Amino acid sequence: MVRIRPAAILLLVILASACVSVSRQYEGARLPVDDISQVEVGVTTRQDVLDRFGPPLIIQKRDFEGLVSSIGSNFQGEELTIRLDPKLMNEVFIYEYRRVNRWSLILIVFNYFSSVDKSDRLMFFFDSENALAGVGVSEGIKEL
Amino acid sequence: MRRRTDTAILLSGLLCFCLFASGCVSLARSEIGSAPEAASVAQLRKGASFQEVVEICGVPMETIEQREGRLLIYRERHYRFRRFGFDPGLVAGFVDITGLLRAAVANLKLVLEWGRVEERRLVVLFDRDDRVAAVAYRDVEDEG
Repeated sequence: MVRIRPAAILLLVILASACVSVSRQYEGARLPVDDISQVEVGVTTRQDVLDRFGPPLIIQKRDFEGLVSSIGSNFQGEELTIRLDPKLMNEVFIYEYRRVNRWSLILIVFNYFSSVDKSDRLMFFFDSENALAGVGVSEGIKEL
Repeated sequence: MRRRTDTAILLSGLLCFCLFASGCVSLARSEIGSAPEAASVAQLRKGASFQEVVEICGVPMETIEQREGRLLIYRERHYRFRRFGFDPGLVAGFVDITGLLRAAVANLKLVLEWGRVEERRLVVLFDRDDRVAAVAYRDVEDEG
């Protein structure tokens, strides 16, 4: 009969005692990726996109104030006329649903930590007449 | 009597091993973002439209509007970390209730750490007509 000695039990308890932590972090709302098939380049308007997909996380547009002030600071004269290319008015809407998977294993003599941060992203870009000029989709969460 | 002596020697040897070989090993990995792989990037041609780029590479992590044209930035970062800590005092604390042994070896510590950050990065520069003007790509295995 095999007798397990208390010292061996103590050693086993010390080495095998562990703390496992698993966490999931979600940011934003799930993106209606399937609705992309219902938008049409040149036809769908900016308002249609807002109605269908809601408020975007980011609206990107050119920094006019910075542009004008940089031109103004280099100008020496009395009158300055600036003509803006309508393309400069183009906007980009970005939607994002982000997920971070983390897990960790903490033992007495060995620790392991893992963190993977991925996101689904939708991007709509519009022309100067507010019509959809293009659309992009990235489904990064599938990689998790 | 001899058996008791053998057991005492065995336990002492085990204790010595625990004291002097005890270490703390930590491994960590982290992954953030998404960037296209080399095969996708190879499909990009000079003069390709914004829509074509987004279809091939997905939605960028960052978009910068410049006077010369738009800049798309894709980034995927991998972080690897390893740590080995040689700390006999850690185990001494479990086996020596007086704390004397732990105090005696308290200054005996060695910590080795390795960290590595690898990044897959793609930058696509467009001209004012939203056509690809230049592409720069670096994969995770690329040196320099």
